[in-house]
Amino acid sequence: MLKYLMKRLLLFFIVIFGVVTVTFFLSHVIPADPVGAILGENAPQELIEKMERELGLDLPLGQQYSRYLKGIINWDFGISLRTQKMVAEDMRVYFPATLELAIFALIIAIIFGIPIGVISAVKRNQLPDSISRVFSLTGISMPAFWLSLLFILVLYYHLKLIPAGGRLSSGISPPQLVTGLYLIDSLIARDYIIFWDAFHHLIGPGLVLGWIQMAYICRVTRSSMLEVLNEEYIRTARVKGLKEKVVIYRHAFKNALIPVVTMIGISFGYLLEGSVLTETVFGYPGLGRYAVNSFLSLDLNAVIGSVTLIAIAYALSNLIVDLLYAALDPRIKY
Amino acid sequence: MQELLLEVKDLEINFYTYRGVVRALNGVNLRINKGEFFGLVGETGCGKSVTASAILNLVQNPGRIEKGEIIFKGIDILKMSKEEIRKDIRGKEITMIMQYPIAALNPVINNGEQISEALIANIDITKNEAEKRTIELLKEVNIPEPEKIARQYPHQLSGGMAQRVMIAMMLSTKPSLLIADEPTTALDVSIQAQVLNLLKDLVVKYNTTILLITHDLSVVAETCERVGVMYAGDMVEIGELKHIIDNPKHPYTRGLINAIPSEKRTKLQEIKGSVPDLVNPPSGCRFHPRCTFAKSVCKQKKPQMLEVEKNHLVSCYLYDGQK
Repeated sequence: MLKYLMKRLLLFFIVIFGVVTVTFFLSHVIPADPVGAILGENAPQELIEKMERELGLDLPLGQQYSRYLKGIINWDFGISLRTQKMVAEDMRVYFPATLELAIFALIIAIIFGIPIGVISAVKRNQLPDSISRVFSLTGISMPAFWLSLLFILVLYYHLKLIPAGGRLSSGISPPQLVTGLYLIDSLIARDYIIFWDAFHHLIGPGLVLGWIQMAYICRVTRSSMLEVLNEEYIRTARVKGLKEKVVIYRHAFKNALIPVVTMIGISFGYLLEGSVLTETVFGYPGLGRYAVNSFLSLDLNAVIGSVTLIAIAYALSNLIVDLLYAALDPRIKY
Repeated sequence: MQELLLEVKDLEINFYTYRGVVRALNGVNLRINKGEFFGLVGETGCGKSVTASAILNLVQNPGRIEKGEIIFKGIDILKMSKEEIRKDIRGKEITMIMQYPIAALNPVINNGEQISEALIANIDITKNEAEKRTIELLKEVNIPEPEKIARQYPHQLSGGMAQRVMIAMMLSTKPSLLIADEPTTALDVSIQAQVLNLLKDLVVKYNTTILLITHDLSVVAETCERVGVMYAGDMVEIGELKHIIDNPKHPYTRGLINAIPSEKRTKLQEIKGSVPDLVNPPSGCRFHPRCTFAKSVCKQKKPQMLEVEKNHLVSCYLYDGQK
C-alpha cells in the first residue's frame, strides 16, 4: 500500500510536470503578443522593449522555461496583467469559489443520483425507472448554459427563490478568509447571515451542475446495479432467506459501487474545470471563468496558474478514486 | 413407510423470450422422501436447475411457473406469499449450493461474515454466537485454519474450499432439504470425491435430505439412493439407483448408460440426434424423434408414468399394457 502510494505520488508529479511543460510551450507557440495586448498596437518601441525585459520575454526560451519552473515550485506565477494582482492571490479567491460550487453540486448529484439509480435498476422497466430515465436523459441532453438560463428565469425571475447571480449579495462582505469556502468560513465566524446568503447564491448554479452530474451518476449506478443483480452471489443471498433490502443494499450495492466511484471522480474533475458556462450565466466568480477571461485577454501568467491548479486538483481527485477502489473491493490490492 | 418431504406435482414452467415461449418444464412430477439422497440427472437444458429454482420460488424473469404444485411438508410453496417463502422456507428449510462456488460467494464480504449472516437471518442468535458457530461450521467441513479462512475473502479460496464454505453456509441453519446444483462439476476430479463424501457425511449428521442435480451419472452412482432422469423438460424415469443403473427402462436412460465408457464396451454408443429446441418441442413424447422404438402413438400423446416394478416409474409407451 505504502509502495503504491509512493508510486502514485511520483506519477502525480510527473503528470503535473507534463502539464506545466506543455502549457509553457503552447503559450509560446501561439501567435499572440502579450506585450501588444497590454500596451496597445501603437506603443513606442522603447516601451515595448522595456516591458519585454520586465516580463523576461527577451531571454532565450530555455532560460525562460527554467525561470518559469522555479516560479511554479515556489507557487509564484507572477502578476496577472489583467487584474494587476499576483496570480496566486487571485487564485486564492477564485479557486475556493469553484471548489465550493463543485462540492455543493457533487453532493446534490450523489445524494440524488445514487439512490435513483439503484431504484431504477431494482424497478427495471417499471414506472420509477421510466421517470428516472426521463430525468437523467434531460440532464445529459440539456446544455448547461440553457439550463442555467431556465433556472434564472423560473427560480429567480418568476419565483424569486434565488438571487440572480454572484457569490454574495451586494450589501454583504465575505467572511474572514480561512478556507475560502464561504459556507465553512461563515460557520467558523458564526455569522449565519453570511452563511445563508452564500448558500442562497449556490443553489442556482449548484442545481444546474448537480442535475447534469446526477444524470451521469444515476445512469452508471443503474447499469452497474443491473449487472450485479444478475450475479450468482445475489442468488446465494436470496437462497439464504435474506430480506430483499439486505440483498440489494448490502450484497448488490457494494459490488456496484466501483464504476460509480469512477464516475464521481470524473464528475468532480469536470466540475472543477468545466463549469465556465454555468459560472458565466450566474455571474459566479469561479476559477473557470477567471481562466477563460484571462485567456481571452492573453493574460498568460493567469492562464498558466489556473491550468496548473486545475491539473493538480484533477490528478488528486483521480488519486483519491484509485485509493477508494482498494477500500471497496478486497480483490484490489496495491 | 418413508416420510414424504417434497412433492412436485405437474410442474409447468415457461420462459417468455424474444425467440418465443420456451417450454422448459412440461408437467414434472417428483417425490422426495425425508433423509434421502435423491439424484436428478439429465443433459444441459433439460430443466433440472429450473426445477431447483422453482422449489425455492426463485425462477427468474422471463420464466414463469404456469401450473403445478410444490408441496413441502404438506404445504404448497407456490401458494405462499413472497415474504412467507423468504422468511420460512429459504435459508431455514430449503437451501442450495451451486455449480460455481467462487461466483456464488459475495466478493466484497468476508467468508465468515457470509456464513454468520445466514445464521443471524434465520436463527435466534447473537452476532457473537454466530461468529463462534461459523468457526465450528468451517471446522466441520474440514477447512484448515478456520479463523484465518473466515477473515479471508472468496477470491482467496480454491474452488474446493469455496464449495466447502458454501456447504457450511447452507447447512448452518440445519435445513430439511439441501439442493446441490451441480456441486462438483466445476471442481477438479480429485476434489470432487472429497466434496461428495463430505456431503454424504454431513447429510447423515444434520439429518438433511439432498436433491443432487447433475449431468454426471458417475456422481449419482457414487452417492444417490434414488434417481430421476429428465429429458427436455420431462421426467422420463424415476427409480432406485440399482434399477436405473442395472435395469434402465426408458430408451433415453438406456442411451445415457450406454454412453458411459466401460471395460465391457469397445465402442461408445451415442444417442443419435440432439436435444430439441424447447421453443418448438416435439409433440407427444419429447424423445420420440431420437428414439429407435418410436411408434405412431409416441408422436400424439405424452406417455403417462407407469410403475414397471416397485418404486420404478417410466414414462414410455413400450411398457404400456405390460401390467
